Amino acid sequence: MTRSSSYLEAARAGMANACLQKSLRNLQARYGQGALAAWRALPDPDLRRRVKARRMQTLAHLDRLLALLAEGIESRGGRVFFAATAAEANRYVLDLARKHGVQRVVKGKSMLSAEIGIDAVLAADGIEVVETDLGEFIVQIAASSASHIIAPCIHMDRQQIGRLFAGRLGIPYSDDPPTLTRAARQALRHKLLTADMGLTGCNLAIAETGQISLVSNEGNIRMATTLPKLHVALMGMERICATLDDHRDLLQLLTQGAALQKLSTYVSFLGGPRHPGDPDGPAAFHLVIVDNGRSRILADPEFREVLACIRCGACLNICPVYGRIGGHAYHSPYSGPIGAVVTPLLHGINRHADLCRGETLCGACREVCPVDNDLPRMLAALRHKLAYGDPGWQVRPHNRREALGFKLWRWLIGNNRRYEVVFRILRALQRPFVGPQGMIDPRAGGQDGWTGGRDLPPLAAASFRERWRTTLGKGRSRREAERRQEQDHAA
Amino acid sequence: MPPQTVTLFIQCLVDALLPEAGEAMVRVFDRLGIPLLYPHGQTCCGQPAWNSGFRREAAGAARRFIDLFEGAEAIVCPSGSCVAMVRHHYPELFRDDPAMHRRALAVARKTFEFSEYLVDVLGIADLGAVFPATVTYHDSCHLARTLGIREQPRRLLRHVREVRLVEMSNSDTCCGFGGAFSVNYPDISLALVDDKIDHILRSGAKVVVGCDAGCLLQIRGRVARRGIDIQTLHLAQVLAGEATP
Amino acid sequence: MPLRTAFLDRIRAAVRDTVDDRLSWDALLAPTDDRAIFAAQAGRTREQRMVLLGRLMEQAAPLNLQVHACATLAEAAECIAALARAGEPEFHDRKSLILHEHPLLRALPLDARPELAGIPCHWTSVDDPRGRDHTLAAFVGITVADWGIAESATLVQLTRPGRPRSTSLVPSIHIALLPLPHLVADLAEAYALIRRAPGSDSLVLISGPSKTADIEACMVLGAHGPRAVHLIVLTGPSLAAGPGFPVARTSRRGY
Repeated sequence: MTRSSSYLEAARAGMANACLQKSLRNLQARYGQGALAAWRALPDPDLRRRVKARRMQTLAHLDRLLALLAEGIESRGGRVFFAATAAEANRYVLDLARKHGVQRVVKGKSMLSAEIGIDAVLAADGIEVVETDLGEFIVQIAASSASHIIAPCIHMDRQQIGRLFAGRLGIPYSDDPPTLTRAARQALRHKLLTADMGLTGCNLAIAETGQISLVSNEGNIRMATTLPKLHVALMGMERICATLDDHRDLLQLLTQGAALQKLSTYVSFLGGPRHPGDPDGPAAFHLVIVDNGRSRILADPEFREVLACIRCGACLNICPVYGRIGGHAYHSPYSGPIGAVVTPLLHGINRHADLCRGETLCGACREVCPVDNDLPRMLAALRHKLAYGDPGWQVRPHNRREALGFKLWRWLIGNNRRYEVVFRILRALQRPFVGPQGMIDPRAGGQDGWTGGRDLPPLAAASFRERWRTTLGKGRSRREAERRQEQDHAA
Repeated sequence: MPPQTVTLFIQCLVDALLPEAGEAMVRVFDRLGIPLLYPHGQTCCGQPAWNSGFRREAAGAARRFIDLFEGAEAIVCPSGSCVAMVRHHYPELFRDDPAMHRRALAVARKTFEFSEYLVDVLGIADLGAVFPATVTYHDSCHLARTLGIREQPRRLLRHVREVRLVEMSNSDTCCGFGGAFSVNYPDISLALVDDKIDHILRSGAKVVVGCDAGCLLQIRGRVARRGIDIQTLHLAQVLAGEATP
Repeated sequence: MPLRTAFLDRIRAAVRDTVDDRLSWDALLAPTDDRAIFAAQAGRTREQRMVLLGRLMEQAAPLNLQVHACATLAEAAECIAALARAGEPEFHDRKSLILHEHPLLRALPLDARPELAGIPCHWTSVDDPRGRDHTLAAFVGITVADWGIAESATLVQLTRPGRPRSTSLVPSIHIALLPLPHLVADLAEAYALIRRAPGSDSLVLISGPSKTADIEACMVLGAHGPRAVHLIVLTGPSLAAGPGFPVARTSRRGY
């Protein structure tokens, strides 16, 4: 229960952040609804289902596909490291940085890098780490954290950013986005041109051709993978497609789902270090493929499909809960509906119990997902594990009072006479709590719960079953009565 | 051919808190001459337990439901979420028990939501109802997304005399009820219902109609607390002519 | 490599329940038949390619990709010179250009342009030690796109020896030339070509100038990459297509 207050605290803070609320509202109206409209307008209505099927086939052959990818990259002089844990990945990258005398690292946006915590590891060794994606850069110098997968600083307004830049970049205060962007462009250009190492993620690798691919609009990823002498790419082990055709389909779904684009401004395909004769490009290319809990998800057929996710962010743009509480409440680089499933599976189901319980399971995320992921099903499965515990996933039963409550409930509904007696008792007991308007008095429920913010009708003076018995059900034809008798006997 | 007998499946929330909605449904069927049965043994389909992850308890409720209802010709319920429970989650509950699974599927096949039964099974859209008001319709999550029922309630509403049906924006965005969510995470639940109320107000409608008691309790409870002049009705109440705007 | 073996073994164990139902390895990687795509490309008439150009221009407009149609190399040179004169250097006080070492660019009569007087033109090469400096000093980078994609207003730029990636990235303005026959309809056609191109492991798809909307969702052009991109499509029939398509020749009608 220790995280409960953190989730709620952060959720309340998010709901109270007027700038965040306005930004999320606009984002969701435009991109969430836009993605739904885009899928409805697809010339091939079956595309998402087919793509999902290919993703599952890819996962079924993941080991061989990763081996094929590594073969391709290594044949071109690149290096591939398979990191079972975050610690292994961080150690590898740090060793590499030390070996190459790296003093400055420029980063492309990578949620995996936040997941494994590589920034802190490098910084502790005295290495300067610079986020170059504008949103991530802003969040970095503000000592905040990203609140959306695609738009990291959506929780900050232009005035805040203006003050931040005036303080940290030494420019005169301005809250004009083009001016601020130009200032960041200038400041980061120097870093990009003088960095020793580029550190990026990987959107989608291609096994058939032995490449990784990266999408961006800003150009920072292209610079980070072209100018420094060393490029390290971090890749979640599931972010791979089998063939170039698969990549073509997934790429378009990714850019549509993320920002309603036919294609992002840049799509980079990289297969290794520079070729002989290439005037630029990194001399050394390292791909770090990370497990960090993914193989455990892969091994569980109930959750395996979550690895089909291509991290487009469309689910964030449609979720009414995320749209109100913002990304910080999820306490994870992965927020929104995908975060609500993946974060508990990677980092502890009890620890992140609020993430699956604090959703309404409305199903909008399922509707908008480009790869047809059934996130509500998996959220319900997580609740199931919390209800009774699960030794396989190291889950303790989350709430004993609730468990007891449902045992009681089961007893109660197991017999209609019992049910009706208890109903009548509760109806009698509620009388002192019914206010003058005929609704349950707010003070009866306390500040939280239902009555904190809503009126509640009392238990009906005549329930439906009572009405049926006394008036509604009377005078029905004998045939009906006979049928009713048969039914009651069977019960 | 005599009409099928409809066996009434009355959601626990309707039974206890909104019996007028169930009563309205009965009156609609009576007007159509549909013979009705109501198994007294029914209590709850098990959805609350399922939603909170307590699948063993939910399975117990499901077994009871299947025992009670599987002899029926047609089972009709005034709640989308319960129908989704029976059609989609009962088979899931019994996926490791082939015999129960078969029985669950058989019951699922003949369980219908109220508006779905009228329009798709009986082929009726005009019930001769009158309701002179501007109304908007709230698409509840299970009904719209799980069951794909969006057009049927609207068709029925359009045939109501003197009604003006206006669409609100985000009609199918969750109202924030979510069962236990509404009491476990009340702040977030309130934020969502306030958004919903915003959309209702912007639509210009004075009445919001829905097909799920949970949503109706949520919206009605909040507008009452905020003192907002919006009437919240179950579709059955409008069709039975039992409500006045 | 024990770490790698353990890693992959763990995955193999995780998916052993799929062994009976999944596609075979060969089926998973079965190559697609691109012959129809190549035939469609090769069989396009010049008129049909001009229609594609129209589509490209339509799609390019909202993306701020500026498309110019030039019938001759002289017209193209004039276009480039005008852009060089009008453009302002962003990071330096002096103007200079950097161009990919490419026969098509060498064939441009740039020396004849008065607007370029006093503006040095540097050429990229395999091993010029000053190459990087020239790139950093340039405010315009000029390349030849391998292909263009009409539907998404995209340039495909393969990395080739002597033709660095940074030419289309570091200078503030990027100008790309594209012979009309290298304009294809959609991503499916482009992917077929990319698949067949030898040594195409490093490439980039460019669909306009760099941009960001990270600050309050306001779109701003020129984040880190070029803030302006110009595509000059060479439409004249006298221009050879060059090594673009794997299928040998164009239709008898000329394009």
